Amino acid sequence: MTYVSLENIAKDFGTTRVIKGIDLSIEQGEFVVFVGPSGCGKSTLLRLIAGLEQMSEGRLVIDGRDMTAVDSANRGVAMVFQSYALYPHMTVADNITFGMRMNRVDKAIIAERLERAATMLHLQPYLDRKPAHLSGGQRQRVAIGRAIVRDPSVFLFDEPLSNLDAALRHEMRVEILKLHKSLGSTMIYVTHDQVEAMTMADKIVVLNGGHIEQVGSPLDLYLKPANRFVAEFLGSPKINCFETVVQAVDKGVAILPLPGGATVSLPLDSADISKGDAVTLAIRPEHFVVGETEPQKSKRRWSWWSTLVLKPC
Amino acid sequence: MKGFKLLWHIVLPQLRPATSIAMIVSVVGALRSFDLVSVMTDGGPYQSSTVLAYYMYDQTFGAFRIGYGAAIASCLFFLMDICIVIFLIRSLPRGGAEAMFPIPIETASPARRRVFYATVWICLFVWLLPIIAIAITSIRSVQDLNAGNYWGWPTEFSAVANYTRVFTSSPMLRFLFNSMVITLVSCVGALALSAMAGFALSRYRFRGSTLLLALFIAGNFVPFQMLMIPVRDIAIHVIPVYDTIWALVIFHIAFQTGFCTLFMRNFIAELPGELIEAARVEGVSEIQIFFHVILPLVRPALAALFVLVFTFVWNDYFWSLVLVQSDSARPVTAGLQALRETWTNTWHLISAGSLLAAVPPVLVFFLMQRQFIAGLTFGATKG
Repeated sequence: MTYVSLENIAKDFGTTRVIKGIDLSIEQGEFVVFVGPSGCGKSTLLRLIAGLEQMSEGRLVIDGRDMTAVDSANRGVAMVFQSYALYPHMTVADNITFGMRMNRVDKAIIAERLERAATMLHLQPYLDRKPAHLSGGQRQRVAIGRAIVRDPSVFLFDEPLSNLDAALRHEMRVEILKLHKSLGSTMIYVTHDQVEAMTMADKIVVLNGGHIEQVGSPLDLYLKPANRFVAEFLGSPKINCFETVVQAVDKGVAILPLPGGATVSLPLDSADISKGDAVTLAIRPEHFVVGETEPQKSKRRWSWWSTLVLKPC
Repeated sequence: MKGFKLLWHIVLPQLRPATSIAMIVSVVGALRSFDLVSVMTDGGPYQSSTVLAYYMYDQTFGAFRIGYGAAIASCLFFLMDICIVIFLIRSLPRGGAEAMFPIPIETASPARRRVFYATVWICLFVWLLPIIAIAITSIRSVQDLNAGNYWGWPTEFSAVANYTRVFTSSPMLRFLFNSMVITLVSCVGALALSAMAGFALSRYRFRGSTLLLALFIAGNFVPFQMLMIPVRDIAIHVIPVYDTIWALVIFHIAFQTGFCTLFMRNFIAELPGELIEAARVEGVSEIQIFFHVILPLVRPALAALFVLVFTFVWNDYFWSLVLVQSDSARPVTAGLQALRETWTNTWHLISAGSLLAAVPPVLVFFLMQRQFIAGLTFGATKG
């Protein structure tokens, strides 16, 4: 069932349209990752969902309620920022409980939620410390703790791990996933790191230039990219692309000439590729396999599998 | 490269935005100069030391030629306009001057070091000379002064007698009390207003916010002397506060808030915006953000401004001359000037009074020294 739904959302900054009409539905409890190159609008989209920016067009529905014009405070979302955004003059405990204290939540409830979040994130020894005396990973955990105590319907993460070193990033990735499992909440996570996207997501949303290129599970996107952008964006080392022209199509098998002069026959998914079309042949590096030597040509032969024939985009 | 070559080819070109702005500010400051002329020479002899601001004051309130005074004010305003326009154009590009680390003097050769320290001490001495003179004079007896012994060893020390007389034979205590009330209330008022204005100007986008900020900046350069006629009129006719300390409080707050707002705005703009956004997402109201997030974080800036505004207001002489005239409302600066007229040739008492008047700002500075320096260098050393 759709829990968060984005309907034709657009955002203009001045005269430039940075988000160009986005439709997306997110299920309850899903872990969705927005990924894309810098400047693709992924952070802006997250901020639109958080209510930190006003939408120029479109509608946002969370849990059946139209949130388009609702204040960010009342959307039931919690956000974790890239810079952690901890208040430097407050202790860890004060940071975590700040929002509740300002909203006059009952003291017993505050104490109980603080206790729960601190246990979950192993923060008890640090509750009286100021953020300046914490390591990067600990600061990130405080920021997450501040989100947990709000008991939000949707968690929003804006590149939360990009300020951490590689080892810590790996550790925090696991912790966030554990958290997702134990809380069962819906989470939207923005990153430019495709490894994070591939390892964490239930559903990846690839953004480029303010619109969605493709939505799907990590493996779907990896093995069946909808276009060349997605094919090239995911995967490291990058996918190999050869520009070529279809020589012939016979019973769903296309004959493609290769730059070296050889040809290759590949089964086609779609029927709209016909003879004479300019296409791109894309092959993942790990799918190259050294084949047997063919006696008659005494040249090495390559075998391909899981290759793609893409229409140019 | 080192030494003068370094200064000439690297440092000075880098500092050009700062030096040009400093020059404009000092030109404006020079056009404003009034206090020294008024206290030391009264513009004489034969007007040889009259400056524009003093001439205006003299014509307006001395000769009661208010229209003529206003005309001079307009001329001054035109001159100032030019400076303000140049300043605004100059200050628009935000040149990122990196912090430079001077070579520690300890690594210089002993001879150079001796020259360096000697120069420092000579400068310090020259700079402190007036205060030393006042301090020595304040403990002399009247016989010494009459005998012309201004710089020699005092024949007798009458510090206790002098300082007691300052308090017993003049309303000095009253003056100090007035100054204290005026200064503290003005500081609190200006800081409160400017913190809020700075928050609004740096954190909200609204129609005309840039214009408003430009007005705050430009307002700093309007020589306040040219406002003396309207301000006096307002204090007499519009808000009847003339000749009370509240006249000074109100107008000091009004004049200091411009500079403070500029300072606070830049300081608050340096704070990471995500702190405020994080609070907004948590449902914290704007007022609560201001008091619980912004104010604690700008404390160093507030401390620095407090010291600056305290000094400005405490040392103000011009407005106390324009806005009050009875002893019950005079602050210590105008009070001393009045005493100079009643205590002719009693320099030891005037000196003692001056020294007493100089103590509070110095005290405030030393009490808040650490925050003051932290406030001025905030942002430059974000680690």
